[in-house]
Amino acid sequence: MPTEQQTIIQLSNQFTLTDIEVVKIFTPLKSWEDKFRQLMLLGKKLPQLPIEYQLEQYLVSGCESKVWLLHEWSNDKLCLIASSDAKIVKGLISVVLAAFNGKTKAQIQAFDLEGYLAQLNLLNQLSPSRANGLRAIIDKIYNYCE
Amino acid sequence: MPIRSQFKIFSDSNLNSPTPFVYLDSAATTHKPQSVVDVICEFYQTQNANVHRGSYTTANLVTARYEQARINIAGFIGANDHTDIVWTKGTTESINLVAYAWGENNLSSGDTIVVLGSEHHANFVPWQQLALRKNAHFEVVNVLPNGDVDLTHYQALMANKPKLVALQHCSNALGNIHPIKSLTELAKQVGATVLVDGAQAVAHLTVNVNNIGCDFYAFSGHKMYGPTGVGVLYIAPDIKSEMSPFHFGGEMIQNVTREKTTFRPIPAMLETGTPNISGILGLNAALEFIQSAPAIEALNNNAQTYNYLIEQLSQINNVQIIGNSNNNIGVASFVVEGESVSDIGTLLNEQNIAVRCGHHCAMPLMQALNINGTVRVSLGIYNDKSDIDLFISALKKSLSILSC
Ligand SMILES: Cc1ncc(COP(=O)(O)O)c(C=O)c1O
Repeated sequence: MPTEQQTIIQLSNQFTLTDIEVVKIFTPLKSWEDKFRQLMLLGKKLPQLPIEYQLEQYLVSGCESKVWLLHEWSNDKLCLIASSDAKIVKGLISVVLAAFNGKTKAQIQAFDLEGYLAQLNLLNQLSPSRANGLRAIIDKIYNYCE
Repeated sequence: MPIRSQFKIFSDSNLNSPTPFVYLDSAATTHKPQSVVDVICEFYQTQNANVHRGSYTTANLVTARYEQARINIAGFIGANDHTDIVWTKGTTESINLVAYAWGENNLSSGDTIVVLGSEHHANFVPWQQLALRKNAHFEVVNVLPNGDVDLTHYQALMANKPKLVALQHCSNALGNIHPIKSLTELAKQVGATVLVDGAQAVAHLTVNVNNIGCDFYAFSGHKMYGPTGVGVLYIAPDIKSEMSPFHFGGEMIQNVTREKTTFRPIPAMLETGTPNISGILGLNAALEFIQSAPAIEALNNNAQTYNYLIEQLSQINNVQIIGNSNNNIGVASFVVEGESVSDIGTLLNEQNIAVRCGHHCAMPLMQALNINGTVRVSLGIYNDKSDIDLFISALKKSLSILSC
């Protein structure tokens, strides 16, 4: 039986999407339908979070939907795994993990997240409570780096 | 004038482009007809004065209209006397007012309070908290799978001789219409005081408080085509002597000395401070609207629109309608297998469809039904078949995106 730490690191390694790929996917998209379809596909790229990790203690508070977020440090890199009961949220999580997963503290802190999100032009598609939920996930990741 | 054209929001060019604005959230709040908006504007533009205070003409005119609104509201719910009507800022305040002005002095340790399992938090939490303050028992009636009251359990709880029974007339989350008269009768037989939360009923049903036989009836103006910030608490004549003042200040008093104050009878006793005058005049205009022939006809047509909605929804794969659609005020609450309700809400919003998604301020009901929430479609007087068609096609499109 792998330890929890090993499982998180192993699952996190399976997620290989990068921010550059995400930008490439979203830049040509104009219609809201296409953006949401892509979010669905990105959500499917998240490694499946085993049911035994879908626990109260991993829930991100402040999200409208349930979001579980787990992390471990491995060789100074932040390994993240996350999931949600809502498909749109899973897509958004994928967008965030593409920027932060497997990065060092310095890389995460130096990354221009606002520019990245603005480029994707996704946030104005979201209700305020959804957008706040996304912020809650991002804040939690920044907290890991403090 | 056709009903829909009395609501400017449906022809607003910003809101209705690129596709028509489809409003299916009237259980949260209804839109306001132009007559209501006009009365409020005119009040501030040409009539503004305080009530019950002035010695001049505009003040007297406003006071007369304000008191006429009370008489009209009494008539609307079948109360015998306008002094049975207390103005509040909404259902929530009406219920909390009873919890303090009646509950504090009439409930003791060991007494029982009963509420339905499908209550809105506004008719649940005030009683739960009162029970905690008083060390009283707080009992919740079981909910049947379709959201109806478990009558066997209700009757069993009546055997505890509750001091207070607080009942919703109609469910806000599911739209079920409860058998309020017989529930009230059963509670009265064991000597309970009965409060009815009529927030969802007044825009859809003919309400007669005498016929129901309740002690209190609470509702909001904004769910019956009136403004926000105004509501009503009906207090039956027999229970008035059990009420104490709750908020203290001007208007409610008979005489004030350094040592003591005497109070005027209800309604003044419970209405201290300057009231929401424009709101009350607006509510009166809403009453005129709702009782007009075109509105009555439109309300009757709502039943067909509702049946059409249920029929269309039932044909979509994996949609499960929660609630009793055979006895309903025009609410379709549903879940879709494998989808989260917030995703559906987000995608409907993209298509300019306004519905509500979530627990609808009825978390104990969601727990009883073992669901996380629903998508709630609720009809108002202005909805017609075209709204349903737009909604159904938007829902199908949403589900197809979610399954890609
Ligand atoms: C059944 C029911 N009770 C109480 C309320 C609370 O009404 P208000 O917010 O107007 O005070 C609502 C409103 O959603 C309701 O539907």
